[in-house]
Amino acid sequence: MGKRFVGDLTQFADKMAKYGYSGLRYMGQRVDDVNGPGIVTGTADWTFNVNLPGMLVGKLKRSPYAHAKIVSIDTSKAEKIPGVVFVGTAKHPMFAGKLIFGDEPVLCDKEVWSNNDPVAIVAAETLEAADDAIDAIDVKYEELPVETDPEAAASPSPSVVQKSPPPNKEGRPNCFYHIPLRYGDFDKEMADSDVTVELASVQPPDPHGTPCTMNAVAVWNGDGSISVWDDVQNIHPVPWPVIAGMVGLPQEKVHFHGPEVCAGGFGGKNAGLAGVYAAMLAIITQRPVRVLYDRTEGLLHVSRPCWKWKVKIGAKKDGTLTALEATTYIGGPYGRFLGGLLERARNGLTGTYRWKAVKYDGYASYTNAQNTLSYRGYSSPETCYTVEMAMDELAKKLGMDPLELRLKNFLNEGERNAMNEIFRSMGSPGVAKKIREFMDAWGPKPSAPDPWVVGRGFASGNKYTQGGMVTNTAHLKFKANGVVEIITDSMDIGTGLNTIWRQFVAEALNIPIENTVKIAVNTDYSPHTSNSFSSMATFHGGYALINAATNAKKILFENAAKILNVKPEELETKDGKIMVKGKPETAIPWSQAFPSIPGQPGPASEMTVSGGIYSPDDYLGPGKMDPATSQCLGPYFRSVLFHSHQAAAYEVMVNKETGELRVTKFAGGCDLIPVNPTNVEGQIEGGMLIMGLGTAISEARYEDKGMYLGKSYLEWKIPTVMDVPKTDYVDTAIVPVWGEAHGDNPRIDAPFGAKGTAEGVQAPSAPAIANAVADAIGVRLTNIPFTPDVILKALGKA
Amino acid sequence: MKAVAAYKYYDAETVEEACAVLNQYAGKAKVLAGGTDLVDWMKRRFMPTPEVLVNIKKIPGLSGITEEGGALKIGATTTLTDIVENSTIQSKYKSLADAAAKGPPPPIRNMGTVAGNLCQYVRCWYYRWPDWYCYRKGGPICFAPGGRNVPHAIMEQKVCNAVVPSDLAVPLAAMNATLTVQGTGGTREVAVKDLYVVLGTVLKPDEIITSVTVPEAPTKQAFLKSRVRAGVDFALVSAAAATTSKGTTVALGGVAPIMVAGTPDAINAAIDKATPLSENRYKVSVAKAMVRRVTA
Amino acid sequence: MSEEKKEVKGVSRRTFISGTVAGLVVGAAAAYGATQLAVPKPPPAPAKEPIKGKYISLTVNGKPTTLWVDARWTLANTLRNQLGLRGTTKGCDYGECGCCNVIVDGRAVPSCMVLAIDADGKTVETIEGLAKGGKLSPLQEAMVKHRAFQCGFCAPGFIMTAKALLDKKPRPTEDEIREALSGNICRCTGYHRIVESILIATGQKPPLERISSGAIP
Repeated sequence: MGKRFVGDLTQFADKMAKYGYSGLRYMGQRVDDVNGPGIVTGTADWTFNVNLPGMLVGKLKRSPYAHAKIVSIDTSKAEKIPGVVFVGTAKHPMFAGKLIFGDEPVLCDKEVWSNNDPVAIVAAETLEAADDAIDAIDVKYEELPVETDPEAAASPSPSVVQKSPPPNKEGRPNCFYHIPLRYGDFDKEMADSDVTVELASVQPPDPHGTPCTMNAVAVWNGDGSISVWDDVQNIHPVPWPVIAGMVGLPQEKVHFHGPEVCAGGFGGKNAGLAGVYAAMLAIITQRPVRVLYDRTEGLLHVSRPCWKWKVKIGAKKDGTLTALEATTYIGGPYGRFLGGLLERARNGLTGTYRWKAVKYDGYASYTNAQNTLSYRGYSSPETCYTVEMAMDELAKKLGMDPLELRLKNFLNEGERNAMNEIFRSMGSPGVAKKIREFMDAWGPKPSAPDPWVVGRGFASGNKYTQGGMVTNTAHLKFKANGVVEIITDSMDIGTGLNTIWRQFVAEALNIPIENTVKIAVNTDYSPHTSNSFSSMATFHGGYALINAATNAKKILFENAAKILNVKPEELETKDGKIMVKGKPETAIPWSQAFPSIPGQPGPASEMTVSGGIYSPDDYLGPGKMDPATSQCLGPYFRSVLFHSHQAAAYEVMVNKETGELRVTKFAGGCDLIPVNPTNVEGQIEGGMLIMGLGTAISEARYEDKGMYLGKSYLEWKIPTVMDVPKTDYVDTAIVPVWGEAHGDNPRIDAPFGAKGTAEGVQAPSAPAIANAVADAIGVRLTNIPFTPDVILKALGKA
Repeated sequence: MKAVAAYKYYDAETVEEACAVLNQYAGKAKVLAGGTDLVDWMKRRFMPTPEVLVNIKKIPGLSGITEEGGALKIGATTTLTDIVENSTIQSKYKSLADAAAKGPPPPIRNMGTVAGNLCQYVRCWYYRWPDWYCYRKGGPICFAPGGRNVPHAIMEQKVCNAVVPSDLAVPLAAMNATLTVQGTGGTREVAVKDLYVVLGTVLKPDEIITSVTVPEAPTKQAFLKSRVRAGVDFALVSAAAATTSKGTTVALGGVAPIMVAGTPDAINAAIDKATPLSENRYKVSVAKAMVRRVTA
Repeated sequence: MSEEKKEVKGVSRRTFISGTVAGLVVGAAAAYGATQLAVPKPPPAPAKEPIKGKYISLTVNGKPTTLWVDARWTLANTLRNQLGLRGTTKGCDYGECGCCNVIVDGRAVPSCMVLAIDADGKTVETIEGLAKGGKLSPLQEAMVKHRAFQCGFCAPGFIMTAKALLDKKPRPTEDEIREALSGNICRCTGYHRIVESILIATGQKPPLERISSGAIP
C-alpha cells in the first residue's frame, strides 16, 4: 500500500497566527480542486476552447534546416488557394522585427539558425486551406554548416561562427555568456582531499511536451485596440509587453485574457509567442485569428537546452566534503533565457551541501540546436543531476552509506553557503531521512527472473526560487453579501493555484471558502501579482493576498470599533461578521463596517482592499554580488529568495538481454508546509514520475545535422502509465519546515510559512534513477536517457 | 492542428468494386480500413497523398475470425482488438494474440485492422517526415547509415534500412500464415513471409488482402518484443517461434526491411552475418537472446 | 554488406529538401513503382464517383444528428467545430496522445484519426454525455475528489477511455486499467491519481488520504 506522509503542522500554529491563523481551517487541508468539475466535464476555460465567430486559422511555415541561408520564398501559389486570406514573410513590416531579447526574428528573412525557425505565415478561413497554403509556399534554402554541441560551439576556434558580428565573449566567438563562481581556496581544498570523484554528463534537449500546444486567439476591436487570449503562465512580465511592443500598441490597448487553467506550463508557456503571431494577423486581417501550434511545432519550438557537465568533487576520509569543481556548457540559436540558466546553476551547486571551496564556470553559446525556453526547474534538475551521481560514487569510494554521506554534509539552518548566503528553511535532512525510511520499508530487493536485475537508488535535490521580477499586488473585493473576490493575474497552470488562493484568503479572513471567488484573469482589471514560474506563486502571491486580508481587517475593525464602542484590538472576525472577542451576540456583518464614500451617508456597497509586497529582490547588481566570484555582498547575503529541498528513491528493473528499463517502485518528498497536501503530492508524483522519469528513461532527442527526428509522441517518448510504478508502490512525503526567505534583515516569512516546490520535485528524480541503474547493472551511466541501446552498450553488448 | 490532405472518398460495397476503383486510379487510390496509418500520412503528407480513398470496411464478409478444417481464417478488416479478445486465438494461437496485445494501445487496436497492420508504412523517421527526400520516397539515398539509426535494420538492408513495423507479421510468418489477395485479375495466395520486398510489398496497386489464413495451430509457440517504453512503442526487436507439422519456424521483427523467417539454425546464422549500422549493434545481441528464448 | 548498400553509402550525403511537397512527385512515382508490377487491363469503371463530402447521420450522446461533412474533416474537428462539443481536446492529431478519445460503437478510439465521413451511422459518446442533469458520474466525481488531473487538458480522453473499459468490465484490475490507458499521455500527474481514482470509483481501493500528526522526522 502506497504511503502519503504529511508531517505535523500544528507545531507551526503560533507562527501562523500572525497571518490570521484560524485553526488550520483551510491551511494544510485537502480542499477539492476548484477546477475539477470543469476539467472532468471538458468545460474548463482553456484558451484552446476560445471560439469566436468568423475566426481565421493562423499557421507558420517553418524551416526544416538547422542552419541555412534563405535563397527565396515564393508565396504566389499559396495566395491563390481558395480560403487563404493572408500570406506574409519578413518583407511585411509587421513581421520584420525581433522577439524577446532582440536576437530572434519574428519571421526569418535571410538566414535560419534552427530547425523550426519561422519563415512565413498564413491566415485562412479553414484549417484545410491554411495547411494547403503552408505546403504551397516554396522556400529555397542553401544549407550552411551546423553545430549543435554547446561545448564545441564555445571553443575559441569553433567550426561554425553563428552570428555576425559574433558576441566573442572572452575570445570565444559564439559564446555570449560566462558565469563564474569562486569560493574558498579551491586548489588547496581539492589537493587536500583524500578522495575525489570525477563525472561528466550530457543531458539532451527535452521539450516540455504538454499535450496542449501553444495557442492563442486575437481579435481586432473597432476602437483600435486588440483583445488577446493566450495560453500562458504569466502575463505582466513577458507576454503582455512583448505582444504590445511587437504590434506597436500601448499595453492599455492590448486587452489580455488569461486562461482559467493554463493547459500545462512547465516553463514552456512563459513567452506566449503564439499570441504575438495571432495579434499580428488579427491587426492585418481585421478578423479574429487563432494560432495553434501543431504537435510537431509543439515539440520543436522550445525545449530545455542540451547541458554538458563536468564535475569533480573531493572529500576527506570521514566523508566531509571539501571542494567542488563544475563546468557546464549550454547553447541555443537565440539568447532567450540561457544566461539566466547559468546564473541559476550556481544555486543548484550551492543549495544542498556545505563545500569548503567551489569553482564553477558556465558558458552559453550560439548553436543550431533547438530553440530554448525556461523549463521546469530552470537549471536545478540539470545541475543536481551530475552532483548527486558524484555523491553516490563518492559514498562508494569512501565505503559510506549514501544517506550518511549526505546527512554529514547538508547545510545547516542559518549557515552561509558557498555563495555567502544565509540559508533558511533547510529541510533536506528531514526529507532525505523520510524517503530513505520509505525505501528501507520496501524490504530486501526482490529477486527478478533472469535476465532481469533489480537496483535501487536515492538522491537529494534543491531548487531556488527567485525574488524580483514581481511588483506583486493583489486586490480583494468585499461584497455586501459576504463574498470576497480575489483579483490577481496569477495563472493556475494545473498546480492548483485557483484553489490555494481561496484557501489563503478564507484562512486569513476566517470565512467559509465557498465565500471566496477567484476572478478570471484579465489585464483590464488584474494587477500584477505573482507569476506562475520559479515555484514562486505560493510565496509571492500568497503573501500579497494575506497582506490584503490583513489590511482589510484593519479597516473593518477600525470602523466596527466605532459602531460597537470598543477598541479595534478587542474585536475578532468569523464567517463575515465582526464581534467583540468571545461575545458572538455583538456580531455585525462586514458590510456595516465598509468605509463610506466621502460625503455620502452610510457604508459603501462594497470595499476593495489591496495588498502586496515589493518582492525582495535577488540582490544582484552593483554592490550586491561580485560578478567575478558570485559572492553575495552587503548585509542581506542572498542571491535568491529561498531554496526548497527534495529527495527521491526508485527501484528499477533492467533486462540484461534487451536493455529494457522499467521503474517498479518510487518514493519522493519535499520540505514545506503544504497549503493543500493533495496539490503538493500531485507535484511530487508528476515531477518525479513523469518529467524526471521520462528525462531519465525514454525521452531521447535524436537529431541529424540539427534536424530533429523525434517530432511526434511516438518518436519523442514521453512515459505512459505503463512506465510508472503501480499505485501500491508510490510513496510521498511532505516534511514541513517553516518557509522563510534567506538572509537576516529583513527576515521574511512565507505566507503561513508555505513555500513552493513545483519545480524542485524534478531535481532528485533523474539522478536517483541513474543511481538505481548503476546499482542494478554495476556500471555507471551518466548520459541520459538510459534507452536499451545505451544500456546494452554499457554492458558490452553493442 | 493538421488538416487531412485533399482527396475524394469512395464507399465500396464489394471487393470487386474496390479493386476496380483502385485499378482505375492506378496507384493514386489507397484502401481505407482502420485508417490509423493512412490518416497519419494524409496529415503529415510525407509523400504525395492519394487522390482517392476506398473504404472497404462496409464490404460484407471482410471481417471475422473463423476456424475451418483446422485452419484459422481472419478477415482482412478484423480489428486488433478482435484478435486480442478472441478466445480461439487466445488459446490456440497465443503468440498472435500476444503480438496484437503488445502492439498499439487499445484505442488504436480498436481501429487498426489485421491487413492494415501488415501493410502499414515503415516507421523510419527519415521516411516519415517530409523534410527528408529518402530513397524509399524516390530520392537518391538512404539517410540512416550515415545518420541516426538506433531503430533501423541490421540485416537484408539493400537500399533501405527501415524495418518492417508490423507486430502481427512476426508470429504469422512463424506460423506459416498465408494471405488471400484479390485484384482485378483474380485471387492469389501470398505467404506472409514473402509479403515484403525491397521498398514495399508484393501487392499490386489494384490488390486487396481479403483474409489471413493460419494453416494449423502450432503445438508450441512464443512471441517476445522489446521496446523503449513498456507500452505503445514499435518493436526494437521482436521474435516469434512456432512448431507445427512442418517443423519449427522462427521469425524476427524490427531487424530488416523484409520478413526474416526460417529454421532456428538458419535464423541464428543470419544473425551471425548481420550488418548493423553505427548505432544499432545492440540489436544483434537482443535478436540472438530472443531467438534462444522463443525456441527454449 | 551488400554491393547495393555500399553504393548507397557512397553517395554524398545531402538532404534534398525542396520546401514543397510538389518537389517530391518524382520520388513518389518511383516509390509507387516499386510495388506497381504488371497491371492487367482496366475493367469497366465503377458506376459511382468518389466524393468530396456528404451528409452523414450520427447518434451523439444519445441524440440523432444529420450533418454535411467534408471528406477532409476528422471526427474530432467535426465534434468540436460543427457540433459545438468542445470538451473533446486535441493534443497531437496523430492518434498518439489519446486526448481526443471518444467512444464509437462502444469502443474508445482517437477521434482525430477517424474521418467524419467514415463515421456515418455510428453511435458516438463524448465527455459531454457523462454528467446527467448536471450531476457528475461516479467516475468523474472520484476524479475530482482525488485530484486525478492537474491542468486537465488530457482529462476528457482519459475519462472516455476509462468509461469504455468500465462499460465492458465494471471492476477492472489495475493491470487492465493501465493497459487500457496506455495510449493516453499526461504530462502533469505521473498517472498515479488517475489510476487510483478509477480504482476508488470502482470500489476496489480505499482512498489513501491521511495526515500524520507525528513529530517532524
